[in-house]
Amino acid sequence: MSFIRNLLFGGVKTSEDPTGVVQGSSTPTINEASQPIIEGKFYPRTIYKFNGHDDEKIFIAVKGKVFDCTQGRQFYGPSGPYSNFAGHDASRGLATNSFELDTLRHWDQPIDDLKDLTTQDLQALDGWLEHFEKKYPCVGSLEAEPGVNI
Amino acid sequence: MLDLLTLFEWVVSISCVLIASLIAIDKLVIDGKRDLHPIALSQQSNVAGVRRKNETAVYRNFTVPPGFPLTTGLALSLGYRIRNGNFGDIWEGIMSKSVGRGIEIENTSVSLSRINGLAKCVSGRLLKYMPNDGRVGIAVPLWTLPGLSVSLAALMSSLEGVVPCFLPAVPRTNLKLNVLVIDSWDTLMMMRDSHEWYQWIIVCDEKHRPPNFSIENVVMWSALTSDAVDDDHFSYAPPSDNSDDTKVLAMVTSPWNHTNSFTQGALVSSVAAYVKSFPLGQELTEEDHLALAFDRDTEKSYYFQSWTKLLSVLLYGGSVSLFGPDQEFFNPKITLLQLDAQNPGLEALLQKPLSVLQKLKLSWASTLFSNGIFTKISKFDSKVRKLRCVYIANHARSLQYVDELSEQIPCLRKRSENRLSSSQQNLLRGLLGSRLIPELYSPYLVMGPVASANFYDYRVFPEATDIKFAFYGPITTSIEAKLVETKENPDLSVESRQGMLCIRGFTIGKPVENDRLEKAAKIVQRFDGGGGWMPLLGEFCLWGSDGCLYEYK
Repeated sequence: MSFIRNLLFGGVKTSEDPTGVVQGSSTPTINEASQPIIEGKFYPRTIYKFNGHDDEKIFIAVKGKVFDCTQGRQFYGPSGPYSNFAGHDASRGLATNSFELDTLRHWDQPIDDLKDLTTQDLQALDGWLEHFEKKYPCVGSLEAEPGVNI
Repeated sequence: MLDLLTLFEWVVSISCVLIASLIAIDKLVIDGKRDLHPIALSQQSNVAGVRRKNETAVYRNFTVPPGFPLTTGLALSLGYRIRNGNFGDIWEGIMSKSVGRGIEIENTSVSLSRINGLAKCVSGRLLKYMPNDGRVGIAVPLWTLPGLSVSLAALMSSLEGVVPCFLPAVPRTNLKLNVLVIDSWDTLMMMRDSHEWYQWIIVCDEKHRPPNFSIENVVMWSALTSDAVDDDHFSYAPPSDNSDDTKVLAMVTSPWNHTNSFTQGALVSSVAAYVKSFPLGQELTEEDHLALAFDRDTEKSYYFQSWTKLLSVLLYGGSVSLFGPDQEFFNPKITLLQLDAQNPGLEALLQKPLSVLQKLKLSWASTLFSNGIFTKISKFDSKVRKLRCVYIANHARSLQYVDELSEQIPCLRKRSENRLSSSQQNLLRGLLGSRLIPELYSPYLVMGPVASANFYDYRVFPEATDIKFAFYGPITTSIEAKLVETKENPDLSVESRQGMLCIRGFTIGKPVENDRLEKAAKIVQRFDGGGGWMPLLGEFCLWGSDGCLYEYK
């Protein structure tokens, strides 16, 4: 009806304010759910909850970098073929091409230093890292938590 | 009594039908006539899911998803490889369909074969008598035949190592140029002894030549091009190592005497991004005629910027007109028009007295545009009957800070120059019967626009928004951008998507002077440790919830 009114009496349709700045306020309104994650430090304990089940987001650590793999939910999400990796450091599993649980460390164990991996395994891991860097946003780094992993 | 009841039933029935029709028009007809759905208008960028602590997320144009490369060039093939291309590829493409086409300069049509012949002749001389890495300073307006031809000649020679330098005026310090191209003898007279800095000075206009005047290194344009012949052929073969694509295309000197260099990659990226900015069904065609209108205040900053659109239109078989200051640029032939936001012609158009009927039509057109429906009902003159898109160029604020790469970041203050509000833009759409695209330029640092509105975006924002912000649409496809926190402006919060603009991409220039290069390295380090982000100092913006860039006025 507003269209007809504007057409007859003059006037324009004003769109919603995309800046969120309303009269008298300089702070835009923010939808918390759509806020990007702040890149930061993760510990095995804090990354664990991002397994697609306890939290909707899926984070996977590869060679000390944490990637947001939520877009690859069909692979890494619950009942996906690589769901074991979600919320974990997946470096050893990717390097050895194994999806078994024994390639993963629990959150209260020391971070895997990967020292026993062969050159071939490490090359494979570098390839995976490159793949993750291209495909998924890096959201931070995985570090050992003092008193828990060290 | 019965009659009254019947009458009442009739009135109710007619009212119901009328209301239903109005609702149907409002909901169904209007929705079906919109150029772009409001949902598409509300999601014009790809926003990264992650951000750093003192920065907003990285924003990209909606057509460039994260993980995909930005627009880097023309995607030409070299055997099995893809290459970005360079000026040679573009000019070869243009000349391959040059027959019968020309460029209108000062209201006179000059054939492309004439311009190509002049440019090739000058380029031959430059390459013959200049060192391989020689520099040609161009201080003549692009909207003159010598200005255009010599600029093209220098760009052709750039593939052989010569560096064209676009200057805002005749240099007052020695910029180590081998050749200087100036407009007139009057300018030469004012140069006094500085003519000794140059191997050659090319004077384009012979008027006011003093009798018996002789300086050895001064060459007249007419003498330089005396043996030029019309030539509709230009061939370019890229070397097998593709090294031409990374050569320097040109240097651009700002009015503050700082110079940035741009590679061939900057040109092809900006051309490709411009070509891709047209939606399906509205692409560039050979029917297009671009008018570039220069105005007295800002013309010099656009001599270099004009190449993107000029070459793109010619490449697609279109034609171009160049208009100097004070020249009437509305013309029945033009389909695309580029002009600066400060161009007096725009203000004159907005102030134009209209008849009652024209006012009524303009009111209808404004209503339709604000509902997302394109209309031509209120065109002000038949001179714009073919016009389909107008580009309004806006300078980034604090150009001097951007140029100087100062460590001192300015505080946000209200700017003196006016920006067109969204309602004024819609009035212009109505008067011109064409799309209108506001663009944001940093003319000495970035080739082509930084941000450019969607072809189909005719939204009118609330007055409070218009007072506070200027709207530029999403970032172009050859650049990605983010906003960063600055301690000088604590009121702008990155959590609220506010901050200073930083850009990264293939169209950004590089400082030439060593001290500025060091400053740039320092300032880049300050805003991102080695990520290659270039801050536009003093350019304070906000990301809208629609993914568009809003600049603080």
